[in-house]
Amino acid sequence: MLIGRRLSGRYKILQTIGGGGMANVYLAHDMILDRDVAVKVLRLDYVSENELMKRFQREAQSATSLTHPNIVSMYDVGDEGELYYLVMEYVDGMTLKEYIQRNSPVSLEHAIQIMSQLTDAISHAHHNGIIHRDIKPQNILVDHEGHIKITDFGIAMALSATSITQTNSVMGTVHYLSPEQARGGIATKKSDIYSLGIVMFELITGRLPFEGESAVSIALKHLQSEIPHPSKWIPNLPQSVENVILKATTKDSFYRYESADEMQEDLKTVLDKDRENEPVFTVEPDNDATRAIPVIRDERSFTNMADTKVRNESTVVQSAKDPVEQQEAPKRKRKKWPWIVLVTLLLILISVSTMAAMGVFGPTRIELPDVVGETREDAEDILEGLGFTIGEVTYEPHEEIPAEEVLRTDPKAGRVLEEGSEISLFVSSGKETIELDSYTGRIYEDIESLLNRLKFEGIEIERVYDSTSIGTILEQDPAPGEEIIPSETTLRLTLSQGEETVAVESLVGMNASEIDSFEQRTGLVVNVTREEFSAEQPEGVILSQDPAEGTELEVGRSVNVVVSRGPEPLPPSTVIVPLTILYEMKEEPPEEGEDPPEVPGEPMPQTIRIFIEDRDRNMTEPVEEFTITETTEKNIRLIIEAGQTGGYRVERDGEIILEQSIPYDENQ
Amino acid sequence: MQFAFLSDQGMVRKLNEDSGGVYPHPLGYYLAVVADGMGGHRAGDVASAMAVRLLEEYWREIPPLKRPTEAEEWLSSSIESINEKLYSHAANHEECEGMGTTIVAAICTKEFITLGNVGDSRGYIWNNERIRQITEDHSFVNALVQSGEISREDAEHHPNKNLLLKALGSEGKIKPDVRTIEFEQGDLVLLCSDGLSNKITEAFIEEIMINFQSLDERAKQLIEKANSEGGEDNITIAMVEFSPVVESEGI
Repeated sequence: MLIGRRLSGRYKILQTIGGGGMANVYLAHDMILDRDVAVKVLRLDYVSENELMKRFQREAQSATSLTHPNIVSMYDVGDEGELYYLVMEYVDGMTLKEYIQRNSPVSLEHAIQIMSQLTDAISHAHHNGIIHRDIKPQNILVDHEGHIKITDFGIAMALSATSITQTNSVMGTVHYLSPEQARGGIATKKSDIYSLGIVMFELITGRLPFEGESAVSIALKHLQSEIPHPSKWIPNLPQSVENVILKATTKDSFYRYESADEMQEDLKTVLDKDRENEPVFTVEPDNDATRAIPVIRDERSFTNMADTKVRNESTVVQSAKDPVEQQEAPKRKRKKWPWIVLVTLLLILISVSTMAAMGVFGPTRIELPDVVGETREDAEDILEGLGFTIGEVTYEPHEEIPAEEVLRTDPKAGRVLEEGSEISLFVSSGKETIELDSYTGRIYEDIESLLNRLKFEGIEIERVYDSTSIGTILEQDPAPGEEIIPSETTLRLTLSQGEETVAVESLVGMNASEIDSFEQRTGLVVNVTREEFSAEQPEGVILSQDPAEGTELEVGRSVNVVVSRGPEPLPPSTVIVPLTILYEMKEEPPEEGEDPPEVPGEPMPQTIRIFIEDRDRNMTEPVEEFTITETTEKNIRLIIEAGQTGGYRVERDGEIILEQSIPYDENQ
Repeated sequence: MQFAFLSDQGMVRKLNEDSGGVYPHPLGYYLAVVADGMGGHRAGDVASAMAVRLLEEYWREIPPLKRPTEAEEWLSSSIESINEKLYSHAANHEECEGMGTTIVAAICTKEFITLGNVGDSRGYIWNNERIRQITEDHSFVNALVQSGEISREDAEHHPNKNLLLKALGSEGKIKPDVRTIEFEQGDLVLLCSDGLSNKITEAFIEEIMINFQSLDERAKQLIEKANSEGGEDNITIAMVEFSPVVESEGI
């Protein structure tokens, strides 16, 4: 069970999103780049050889080099223990198979629009020398916006390149398999076109061209029966649309579209009114007649034919012997010809296969010589000299073999073949040139393994400050679209290293002017978030900072600091002073008074003023003023700041009677 | 009768997903079986081992066989029942999803051999100094060969050589091919997984068989040869020889 596991410490598997065949597909989260990805875990148990994995990776890399809006991006190939996996762009949506099941019948316009996206993607891949080999609606995704994305590019090839596929497995779908692939031949770009044709058939009709009890019976129908006309199910289908399907799915790849580009071009105008009633597509008659001739040229082969077949033979001989006449047939008559030729062809096929089955005829058989290493021209001379026909010539890039040299033939040298057999040549086009993709805007780390696998002569990286995220490719040289030979090209990339940063130094102990010069020097902003008392640092000096010394900060960002307010002051002390204010008895001189009282009369009131100096008062104004007629007790309260001295003064009728200064008492 | 069974991991795989054995029965019959498991993570060995264990369980209860048709019916229904059990096991155990196995089994009596097979594990008979394949592979390429679309030689190099048309456990209903041939003194039946048949020619098997070494020794030489050719797959061989000499001496 993989759910919850983290592959290579990076891809956290979240849930299953598909499976079957060779792999299980999971939704996963890339913990490093913080994005959802699809992880395809291949079911390749028990393969222990590292070499296999390396080969698999090499093959899979071809697919990772594709960048196209209609191709699911492949990010990474990895393995952990027994698990081999591919990391791909996660497309939230459904497969085209599900889409067809839900939305069938898809409107004609929409079907063509989907096909157009598909041919665009396949064309891009073909231009990069990559053949898909396994196009089917199960490998095509449709996201919620209706965008089409093809997945599993080159996986079929990557798998077959290793002995990984030597493991037995039960056969999957063969509905989209081209005849040449079913026979075990080499898949070509035209095999992809065949599969595209079947997908288009299914899009438009909502069904598959052949039904059968088993995979084999379906595969055999692809080999033996013509694709039924889609108009059988969709009566008003424009002939132009049907023709695209018929042309893409001819048994003989020779008659299919030359390229995905050509198919795409055709699709552009396929819905034009004036094409609606174009003639039904058939394989070109002239061509076919001539192609059929070599097999039946030998008159000897007819002598042993059963009587019932004679009528067929004569037809065969007649049409086959007069290809020139066919070519010269007046143009207006031409319309009938396809039918006649088709019937003829059918008869040829029937007779030929019957003859083959009876083992009655055999044109001269020749052993195919080894022409590998010859130039194309020489090889063609040799083969034609021996009586072979040259079939399709395919150019393939090769790292070592120089251009124009034959790489291999199909069939292989040593096989004994009938005279006139078609020999396909595979010729080196020299070192592989690739059309350089655009990498700008992508994160270098994402595509690093991809770039490494392209094996550039070198990759030079320059890093500059930029507001894009770190690792974003800003510029590339050579430019996108240029044809290059990777092994002879140095790829120069300019990467963003993020915003310019400076290392924060220690600000602790800096004073205001030092802070100013720090700000000017670094472009960072010092932001005072708090002030605190400090016994050690004088006021205005930085006590602590965040982030810490050594942290890289982008220019313009701020450093938060705490600044000293100086030492923390002690609390003021409160002093209660008890005062005893004496009433002064005054003896009236008797001589002065004419009429001295015999008994002490009412005492004379005396005015008392109290002045205080403390935190709140400063002895200028009396705090209290009252009169007494006797000695009075009174408490006064002083609040004295740390370091300060307080005091009081008591005046009685203007005369100072009590005065004291009171120092700050720390202990209070 | 004499028999030998040998199974080898090969040179590449980390596990042996093949299973099999030869099981004598008190009634004097022998059952030889080879199964080549496949699919799902760690499920291939489960599938092949389960198939062999189930068949051996049924085998212990086999009634006396009066006619070859009884053997054929027994083998056919046993294999069908094993298929159903594997299929439901795979459906009920997530870790076994996609598991399956080939099977080739031979019931050997003193009169006949009844063979049943599903997939591409093969049965051969050795008699009159010739080896002859007596099973048809249920593989895509073999179907193409049978339909005349490709030659046997092309089939050897077909990239999808390992695609099976059916395997036990891969679908709910499966019918094995069952056939009976005569079994005479000196004859030998050889069952093997494709780890052997993909690697060695029939001519080489004949070369080994004609040496008349012990069965174990012959099995060993066949496996050594397959390994020296790459040994990419597990290799399993079961052999039963109708040899009256050894039987009279008792085993």
